[in-house]
Amino acid sequence: MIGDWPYVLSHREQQQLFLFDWDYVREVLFEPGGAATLTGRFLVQFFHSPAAAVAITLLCLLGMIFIHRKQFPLILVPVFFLMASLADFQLHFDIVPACLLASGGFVLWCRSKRKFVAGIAIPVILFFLAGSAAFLFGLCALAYGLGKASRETLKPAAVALVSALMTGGIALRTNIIPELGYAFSPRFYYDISSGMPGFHLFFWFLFPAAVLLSAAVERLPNRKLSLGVSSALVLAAMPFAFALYSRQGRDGAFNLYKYEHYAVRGRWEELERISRRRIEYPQTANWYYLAKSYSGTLARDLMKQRHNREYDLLFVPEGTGASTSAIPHVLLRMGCIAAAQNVAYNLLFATCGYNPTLLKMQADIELMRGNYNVARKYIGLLEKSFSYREWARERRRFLDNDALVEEDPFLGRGRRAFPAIQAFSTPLYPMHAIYALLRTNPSDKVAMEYGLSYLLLAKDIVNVAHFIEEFYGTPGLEELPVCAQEALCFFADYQQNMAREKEYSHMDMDWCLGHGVSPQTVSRMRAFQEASLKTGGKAPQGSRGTYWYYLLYDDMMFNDSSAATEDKAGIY
Amino acid sequence: MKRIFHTLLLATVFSCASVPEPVSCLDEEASIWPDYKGVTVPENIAPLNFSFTGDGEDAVLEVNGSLVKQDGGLFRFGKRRWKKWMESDTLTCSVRVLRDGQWLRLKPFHIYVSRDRMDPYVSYRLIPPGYQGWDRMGIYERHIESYAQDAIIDNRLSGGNCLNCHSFPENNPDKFVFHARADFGGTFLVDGDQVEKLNTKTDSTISALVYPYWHPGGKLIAFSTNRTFQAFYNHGDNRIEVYDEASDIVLYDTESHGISWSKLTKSADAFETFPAFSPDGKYLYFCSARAVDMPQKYNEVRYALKRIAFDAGTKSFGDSLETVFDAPAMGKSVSFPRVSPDGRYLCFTLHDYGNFSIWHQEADLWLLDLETGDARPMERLNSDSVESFHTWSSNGRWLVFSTRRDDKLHTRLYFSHIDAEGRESKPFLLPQEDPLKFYGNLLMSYNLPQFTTGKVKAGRRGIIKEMRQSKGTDIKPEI
Repeated sequence: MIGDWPYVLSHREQQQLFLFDWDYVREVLFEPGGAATLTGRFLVQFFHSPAAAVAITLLCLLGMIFIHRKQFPLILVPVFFLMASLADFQLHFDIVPACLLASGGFVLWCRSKRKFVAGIAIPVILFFLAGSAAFLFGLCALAYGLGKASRETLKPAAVALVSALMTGGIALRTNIIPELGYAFSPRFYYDISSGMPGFHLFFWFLFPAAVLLSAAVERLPNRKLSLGVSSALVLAAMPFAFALYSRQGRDGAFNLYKYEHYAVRGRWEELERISRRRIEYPQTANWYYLAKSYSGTLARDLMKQRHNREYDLLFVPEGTGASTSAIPHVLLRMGCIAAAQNVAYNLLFATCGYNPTLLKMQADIELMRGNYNVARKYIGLLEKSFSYREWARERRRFLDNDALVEEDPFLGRGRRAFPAIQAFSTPLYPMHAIYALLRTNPSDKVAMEYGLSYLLLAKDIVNVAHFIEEFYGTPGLEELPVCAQEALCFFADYQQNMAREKEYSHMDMDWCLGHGVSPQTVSRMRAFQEASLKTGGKAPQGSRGTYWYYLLYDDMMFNDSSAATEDKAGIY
Repeated sequence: MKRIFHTLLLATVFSCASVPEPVSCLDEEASIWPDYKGVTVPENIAPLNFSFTGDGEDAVLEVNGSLVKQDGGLFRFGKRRWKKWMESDTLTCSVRVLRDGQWLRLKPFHIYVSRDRMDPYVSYRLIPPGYQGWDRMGIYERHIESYAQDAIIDNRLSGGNCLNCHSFPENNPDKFVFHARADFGGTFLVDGDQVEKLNTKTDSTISALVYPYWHPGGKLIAFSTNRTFQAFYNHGDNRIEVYDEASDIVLYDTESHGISWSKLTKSADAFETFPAFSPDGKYLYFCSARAVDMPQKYNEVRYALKRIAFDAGTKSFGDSLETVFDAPAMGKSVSFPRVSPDGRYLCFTLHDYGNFSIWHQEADLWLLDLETGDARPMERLNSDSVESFHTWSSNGRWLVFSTRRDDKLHTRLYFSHIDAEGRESKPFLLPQEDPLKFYGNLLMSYNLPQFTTGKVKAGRRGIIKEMRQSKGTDIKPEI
């Protein structure tokens, strides 16, 4: 769980883009809280590496501790809770520089000889630089005043808080912020389209609490006792902070960040290895099989795991907004380019905007489409970023160059994936697009593997048979994976001996043998059938791992009635 | 580096006044962006800064005898100088380039200045082009005499919801209506300082109220009601198809909160949508198509332009529909009818099928002369990409429209002068301080532009408060 924290932090880098562009900087800077926002975004761009993400975050937090060193060790309490809160990526990293600025303002005020003036000015400045951190400063000032318990300190402290309150109130009145929470809580730094969970208030109010408690503890008779009490409080608080962090990562939620991390960096072997542990979840299975498609073992190993039907390859739950979704990557890999673009575009703009990986995907798809003006725009944006400028510069050579695009294995494949006949595409059901692609380009092995696997997992053996009939022998399907052989000869046997539908009368065993089924597979099927008769309807021993077992005995559908399906009846 | 050096050299060695006269004139067109060559602009437009996009050459611009230095390729005009130029009828511009040590003049071009002023503001929505997802969105107004853009309403203040379909009666900025979807959803009627939230779904209508058009006088609004869906193409330039499975037109009375309709505007046999009143309020124009199974027949549905007589006093409609433009007979479809303020012309979008033309690359603007009945494509405005979402200025001399001509994806605003005979001039792109950089970085599209005669004064606070706190008033059928 703690080992997930680097990936949780690193995921933030996928939520935003910092551009080295004065117009971009100016636009952000001149908004309330702009300095904190800009600093947060600037730092997060380096979170491309989880190690850097941890290092930068810890450095910032250490800075906070250093600034509040007079409140050490009690200042560790809000810091631990802040670390836990940072597991929620919807709490923008701006909160960290904002808290640093609030801390800096607090220390300035403490040292100031003109506390009244400072107390009035600092919240105003802080609000424009760092948003509701101005109120945090006010709270800390009041806590300090209360802690000192002297009139000389309490009066200016109260003034500081009142100034912070008034600043927030004016911001609300003048429509700079929509509601009070934005003025006085971490809501200011939270994603605008989501409600902020209440636990983020813990670190917020623990900062002034630490200031107050530090002052109170200082009054204890001796230093050792003070230290002892402070340390005890810190130790007592730590499990709560950890529990808060763990709660956010329950049910393996943090794993999605890891999968995304590896996928974005093309580390398919590692992705395959770690996602296999939680393959019973369709969203995880999507990542797993995506990785396997890169090693060419998707269909070969299909029956080595249990399945949630075809959702293991592509799971599109309702209201998909998670930017850690595998969906656009899977669709792109399948060759459903338009659907991938659709989903990627929605995710790009629905989640904080400017997910760099999805922006790269958009650039590539526009290159595939030949929309060079739009591709140029995206490439131009990425060239202004730190981590993606090299990639963008490399992509420039494809602009306005159809020949180069078509020669490129990735872009050329995408361009050929656009079917000749226009129809509606849907991310919910990829087979239409896969068929259209394969009929244009039957040498596309990846699409072939996905298409065949999709039908196999859907237990749609009629269309498995048709699929093999149409594509077996083409460069994309020169050999049939074992599970497909098992499906085909089962279907043929069923048709010959039971259903006897006229249109499939030609699909006998000889036909199967001529369409990639080996004699050994036929023999094994006979053995399976004999064994099934003896077990009275139960799965024969040793049959796990065969398609027959999956078709007849295994059904691990997850209990999610919101999973969208389409009517898949009919032949394509 | 070489470019910087040359620029510095120019700046230090030569002043503008001392740039040598060109050795010769070339018949070569100056490559500038935006293409402002031959456009007609109103005298109150902001400076039309543009960039010279030649091969990294040093260049200087001459405008009516004055020289303008480039700033990283950008020709930027000072406000005072521009205002002075706007007093003349024509700006004669020519770009001089330094090639092989010699200054050469490229082919001159003109910018024509019209005394017909444009309404000082244009409002629009800025959204990511199409699709379903959004993060930041707002309805903005741009002062066309400067580069200032302000938010009328911004969804940062309303939980990131979707704001859409803003509409002003007769370009009046003091009154408007818009919808919000997702959080704090509803229809909002703004009249001066008053903001009213309306809940517009009723049992008698197929949806909440959608596309609005104000009756002149500002008390009645024609709305469509639509069951709208969005589908995505697997290929081709038309990425999205927005279609209706059903649609009707109703009339909303802002005073009684009631809706009414005619069976001719609300029938199960037809899809009626995109209402638009004539300026005298005596006719309601709209698009109507024979109802078909959707989405199966998405490319067979074709809308004609119809109109029905209307009496505002009794809120009653005529007994019959008149077909004003029979697009289906041509194998085409119309959308977005907009009558000019003098009632003489009607501008609409013509495309191959369907109704949501902004996603049809083949969609073009057409002009119908309501006196003669002649309709023609507005050739000077149309391109090989979509032109749609057009509206008239209050004096009827300017048309603003959205087009994807620059990259086939992002819509931009173009303006064209329309003279009294209905002749259009070459359109020009909404000016920006540095348009090449601005539009290059902008990932948003301009949506539903509308002229207003002044700045919207309604405060965001009142709108947001009503949006967030009010339960809203339920509208009710009056039939």
